[in-house]
Amino acid sequence: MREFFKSLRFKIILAVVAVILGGMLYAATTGGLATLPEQLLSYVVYPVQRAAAAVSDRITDFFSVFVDARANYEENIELKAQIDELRRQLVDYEDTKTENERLKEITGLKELNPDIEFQPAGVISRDPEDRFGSFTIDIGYLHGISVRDPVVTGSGLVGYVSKVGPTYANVTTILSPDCNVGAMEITTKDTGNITGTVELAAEGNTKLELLPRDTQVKEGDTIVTAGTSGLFPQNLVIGTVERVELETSGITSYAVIRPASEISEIKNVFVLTDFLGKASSSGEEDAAS
Amino acid sequence: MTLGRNARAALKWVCYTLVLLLLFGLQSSPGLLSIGGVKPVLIIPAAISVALFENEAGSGAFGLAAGLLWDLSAAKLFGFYGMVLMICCVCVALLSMYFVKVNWSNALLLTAAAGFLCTIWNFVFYYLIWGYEDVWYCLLRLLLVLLYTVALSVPVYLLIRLISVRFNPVVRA
Repeated sequence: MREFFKSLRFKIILAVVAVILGGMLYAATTGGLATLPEQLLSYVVYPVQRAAAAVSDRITDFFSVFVDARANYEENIELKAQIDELRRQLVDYEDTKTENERLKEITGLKELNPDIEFQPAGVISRDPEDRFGSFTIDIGYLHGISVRDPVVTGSGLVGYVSKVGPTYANVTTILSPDCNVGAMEITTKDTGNITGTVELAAEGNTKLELLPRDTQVKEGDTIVTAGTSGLFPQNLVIGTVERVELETSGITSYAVIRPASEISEIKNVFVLTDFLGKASSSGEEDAAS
Repeated sequence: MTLGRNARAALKWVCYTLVLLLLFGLQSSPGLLSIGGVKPVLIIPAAISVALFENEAGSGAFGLAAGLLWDLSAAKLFGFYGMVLMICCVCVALLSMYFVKVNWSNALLLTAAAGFLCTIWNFVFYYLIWGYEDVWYCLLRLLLVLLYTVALSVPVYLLIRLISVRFNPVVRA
């Protein structure tokens, strides 16, 4: 044992530790861009992750038939009730359709952002030790995405690209305290900041903080991106309000937001690579730190 | 036909690597092996089990590779887990060479110790120092991940042992 600490091997191991420490310091200064060794390793690991994700999807789908049988039965009853309700609502359909078309023109993402460009991506990996739902997607800078590009699903905002490699990227979600997004409620126009907390992330929720003490925001209201800084497009749906509470300081209120996308179960996303007003920061809101 | 010593050693490390990639795939696949949102970190028992049967240099290199794989999927600084796992594997290799018997119970204990170190390392640098609210709740969740990992360490150890017995001329005991 004592000989080991005097051996060349021990000195080599110490040297490797020093090199790794140096590499970590360098990686911290790259601003989210993967380092060369990381990129090289990713080329080896990428096919494994894709294959594992594909196998995982198939296995999960197969077993979910048995595991979710009871839940499916209950869901079936609930859906039948919903069909009855929908039949009743069908009467108002034509009026609603006309109104919907009009609203779509006003609030539709694509209409407001005619220059929007996106890349579809699949989720290939999730870290067991991350408590904020971050994940890895199967596209990288070779596909035209870059650090801080917004990540969305058809339902709404999911997060942003926090690190990008050649064929993969890590996504930090709106459940994370590292994520800060300027947001507003669509009817009251009350604005605040979306950021995660440990407690809410465990429930799959996030927080809209810095609301006025006497805010008019209430349960069921829809929260969208404010989009003033150019990091996120305007009017992307973030989620709905579950409850509004006063901060312990008593100065401001906050709302607990249920994200429009079920972040822990997302399998496919879109990365917004370009949109109207991108990077035209006013420096007031929307800071993905 | 009998394989030469070098060929056996090369084949052994290829098998270890394939097992590592397989376990990494299982660990990082969305949804797979998840119980109540808790997933195991299977590359820890893999790296520790290999360290129990190999010398300190090989174990260190394997621990480094395993840790770097984990870094890649964890959105952490590249080398964050690589460094810790490498040090853990070197220590485990030295322990198994000089002090500790190689059996499943020691594999379980050493996996628990190395996993605890990785958990604390992660908790301190990615949760505690940022001053998040309810940060201790995070530690609880991380410890559940560790518990799940330790529970699966025995089958991983037995799998690694199978490879070691097949290819090593003398198996450490």
